[in-house]
Amino acid sequence: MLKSSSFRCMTTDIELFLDASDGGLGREVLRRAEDLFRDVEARFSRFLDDSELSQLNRIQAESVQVSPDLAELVALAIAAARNSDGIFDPTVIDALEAAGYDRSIDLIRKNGTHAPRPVAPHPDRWKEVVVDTARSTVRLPAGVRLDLGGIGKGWAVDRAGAMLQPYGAGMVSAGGDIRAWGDQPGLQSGQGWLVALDHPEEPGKDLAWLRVRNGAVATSSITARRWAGGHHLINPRTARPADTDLLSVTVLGPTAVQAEVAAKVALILGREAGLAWLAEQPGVEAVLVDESNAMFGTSGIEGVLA
Amino acid sequence: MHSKTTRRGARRVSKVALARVKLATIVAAVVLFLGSLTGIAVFNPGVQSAAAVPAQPQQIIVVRRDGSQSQLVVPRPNVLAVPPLVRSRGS
Repeated sequence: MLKSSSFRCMTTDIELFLDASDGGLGREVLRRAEDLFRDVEARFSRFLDDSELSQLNRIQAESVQVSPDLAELVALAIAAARNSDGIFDPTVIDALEAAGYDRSIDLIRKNGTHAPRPVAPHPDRWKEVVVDTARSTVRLPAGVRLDLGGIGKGWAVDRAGAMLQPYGAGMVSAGGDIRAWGDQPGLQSGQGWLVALDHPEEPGKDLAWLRVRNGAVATSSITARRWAGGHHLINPRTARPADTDLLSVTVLGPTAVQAEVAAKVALILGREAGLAWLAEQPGVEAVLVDESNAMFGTSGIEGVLA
Repeated sequence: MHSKTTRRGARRVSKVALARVKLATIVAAVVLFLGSLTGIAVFNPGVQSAAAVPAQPQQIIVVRRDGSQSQLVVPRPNVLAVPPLVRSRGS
């Protein structure tokens, strides 16, 4: 029987689904998965002063003992930066704050934020971050802080998926980031789960339905976390909200972390460079929506349309 | 005589009223029937409604690794079949 749970966490809507044969056990593991999301937010949010990430961000130019989870997450973020030649950059907090994203998106929506301030770009400072996952240590260079918001959400989705998977087919969704395994109840074996691809300018309108088979989906959009004067996707080369010809990018990939990173990178790069970069990423398909609402897909996209 | 005419008139009026009531009942039944049909399409436990399905066929321009392009018509979702439970959006 399909059990579900929905709640708000990490300033987004979380939905969990589990087709567990044991209903009581299903409810219990869904509760544990909800706890996982709340724990990840408490430990890795840059907006919480007492989070482990905020504590790390206050200590620079020395090696800091951190939890294995934080070390793993930082390592994933640095690997993503390397793989995208620095387009994905977890060190752009100064530019994010200068653009107005110095408080949670819920607060910005409620009270607004300050006018954008210019800030000088400092690309490639991620190269100076030293992380040792074996010893669980991280060393940030002077003047560098980390933002793990997007990748942290993908990581939590993957973690929750791994937690729920032994108990039956299921799906985890955190806003645009989704991980699914097994088959959606009512669909034939091997059909996976259906995911509606949302229109970036008309929320609630489907652009297409995607079929996710033991994989992940993530969408990055400049229309979602937006305020007067900016949005949250910073181009590290300009230190400003990305000036892109795309409204949104949806990526299907093996994990939510990979899909989340790939969607963000392609969106910042723009349509032409984004498609070229995506073509080099193994196991990834994508739908890109440009300013005129035209849709572009990678070569294997037909195989994942429902 | 006057009262007879009035009674006949009243009888005629009540027949008209009855006919109107019958007509209204039939119209209401038709509306409810059509509404229930729409309800089948609109209601589902998932994320979306019939209105969420694109009215016009969507097209995707597929870009291959060599740069060549082709057009692909997005399959029109069957709203009466099992719907998606979630929606992927930028967040």
